[in-house]
Formats: sequence, C-alpha cells, structure tokens
Amino acid sequence: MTSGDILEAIGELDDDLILKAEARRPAAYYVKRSLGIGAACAAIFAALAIIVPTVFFTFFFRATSPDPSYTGTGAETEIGKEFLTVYFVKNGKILQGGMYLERTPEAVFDEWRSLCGIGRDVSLEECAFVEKEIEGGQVLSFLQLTLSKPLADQAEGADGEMLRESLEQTMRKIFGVDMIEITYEETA
Amino acid sequence: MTMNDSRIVELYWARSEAAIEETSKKYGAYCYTVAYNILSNREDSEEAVNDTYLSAWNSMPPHRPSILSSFLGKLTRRISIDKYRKKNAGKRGGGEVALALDELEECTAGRETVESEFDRHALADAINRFARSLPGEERDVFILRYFHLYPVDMIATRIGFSESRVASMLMRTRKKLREFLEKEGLL
Repeated sequence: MTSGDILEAIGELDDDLILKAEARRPAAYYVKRSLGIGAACAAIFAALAIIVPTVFFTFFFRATSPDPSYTGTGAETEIGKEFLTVYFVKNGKILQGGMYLERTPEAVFDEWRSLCGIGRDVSLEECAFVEKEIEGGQVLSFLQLTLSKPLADQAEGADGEMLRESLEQTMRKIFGVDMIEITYEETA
Repeated sequence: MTMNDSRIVELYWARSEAAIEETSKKYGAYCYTVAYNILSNREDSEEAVNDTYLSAWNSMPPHRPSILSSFLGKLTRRISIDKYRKKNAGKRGGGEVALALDELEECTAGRETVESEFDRHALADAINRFARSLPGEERDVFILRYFHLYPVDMIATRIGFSESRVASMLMRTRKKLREFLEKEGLL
C-alpha cells in the first residue's frame, strides 16, 4: 500500500463526515455565538418583562375603563404590524428606514409618501398583484400601482425618477415581486 | 437566490441544463477551491470544475446523492487528483498533494500499490471507520488536510488553532492511522 492509495481511500469518506469538517468554525466562533444567543435571550426576557405587564394593564384598564370614548393604547395598535424597510427620498438622496407597518401596499405607500414629504393629493388609487409570461417563457410577478398623479415635482429636492426608484425599491423588497409597474390615473 | 439541493438533483434527473447553471451558482466556488488546493493553477482548476459538472451530469441519474456538496466535492477531488497525476507523471510534482503524500508515507509499510478492487474497498472502509473513531476536532482537521488538501496554515486559521498545534495534531492522527491499519491487517 502506498500513500497514494491512502489519499485515494480518504476520497471515499462518508458525506456526513465531509460536511461536518467543512462546517467547522474556530472555537471562538462558538463562544461568540453562545454569547450572542445569551444576549438575545436576555433581550427577549427584558422585552417580555416590559410588554407583558403593559398588555395586561392595557386590557385590564380597558375592561374597567369608565370612559366610553376609550380607543386603546399604542401597544394594541402595533398588533398586525411588521417591521418593514421603506426607501424614501430626502435632501436629494435615497435613504432607508425601518418601521412597524401593516404589510399592505396601501399602508406602505402612505408611509413612503409621508417620509418623502409628498402631499396627500398623490394617492394610491389601485394596486394589483399579477403574473406575466415574458419572452422565453419565464413567468415574472408584478405589482401594478396606479397613482392619482405623476411623481415629478411632488417633493422638494427630489426628481420624479428618484421618487419612483425609491417606491419601486420599497415595494419590491416588502412584497418580494420581480417587477413594479407604476401608472398614473391621468395617463392610464 | 440559490436553489435547494433536492431541486437541483431533480433538474439533473429531468435532464435539464439548468441543473449545471444552478450547480455552478451554488457550488462553483466550492468546487474551484477543492480543485485549486490540488492543482494550484487557475486554468487547470477551472477545467477540473467543468469536468465535475459533466461527471455530475453523467452520473445523475441513476445516482441520487443525499448530500450534494459532498458528492460534488468528491467528484472534483477525484478529477483533480487524476489531472495532477497526469501532469506530474514520472516526477514528484508540487503543492499540497505532494506534501500530503509525503506525510501519509508515515502510515504505509511498503511501496506496492493496492491492486485489487476488493483491497481498495477494504481500505476505504477502514479509513471511514478510523475517521469515525476520532474525536470531532481531530477528525475535522484530518479531513480538511487530507480530503480537502488545505494547507496547514489555512486549517489553523479556519479552526482557530496555532499552526504548530494543527501540525502536531496531524502527526498524532497519522500515527494512530498507522496503528489502526496494522490492527486491521492492512499493512
């Protein structure tokens, strides 16, 4: 038997052993990961320590509130919302920010419009998710948005192209579609 | 975004050329690393990776690998070692293969090569059992060195040990391997 035979035989090792060896990371990585998991657990525990009493008191006082005009608290309004990233235009630049929003095109559009400083006269009139077959037989998902008017000159220091780009980026990221189509009621 | 492995295997079975594209997207860099560790040459390594895709195409079907990355890694390794041998026929050659062969020399008793398929199979089976008997860290270092043919300094960086610790760990493992093969009656 030669060393070449051994080298060849090592090439027949079981797949799981090879996979485990490839996944091996420095010991420090596992320490850091454990610390990270510990820190995450502590953060969740701390958050629960705040949220649980808040929710408890919210519901308790709501049930016993003598005020009939009571409409709830901030904690309740967060229900059904997700932390989403919105791209918007400010001072001639596309920036991004994360916020709690309902995952609907309407809610996202409203937030994007307010972050860009666009007036309420630009509104989302219609939206639809569709699938289209393009050349070559590939099927792409589209989100079609119809706005009440074009985006040009609707925000200070931002041209229509930039506004459009930030809206497309936002919608594409949040709804995971391949393409965004924007049309305007005036031209639709 | 890359496709999951079972879907890629399905593409091979469906004889869709997209299988090669998806394999290249997901495992191209991995296969190239395995090839380059052996061949130490960009062009040869790229050729070995392309041969790997062809070999995967020819073996699926009938083969259905349970772990696609290891399957591709083995193919690339085999193809690259063959290329290395052809290129260095009759001479010692260089790079990590030559070093690994020198190191593994400590585990052998003679210069006669294993001829029969039966002996080859017995040796592969013994090496597998030997690897499984090693403690996790030692086994991974052994595999990274002699399966993937990573240089010692790269293994040291990857595992977070000093080079001397990796080298002495490998030396101990080779000694154990020799004893194991002797006990198995293979030396």
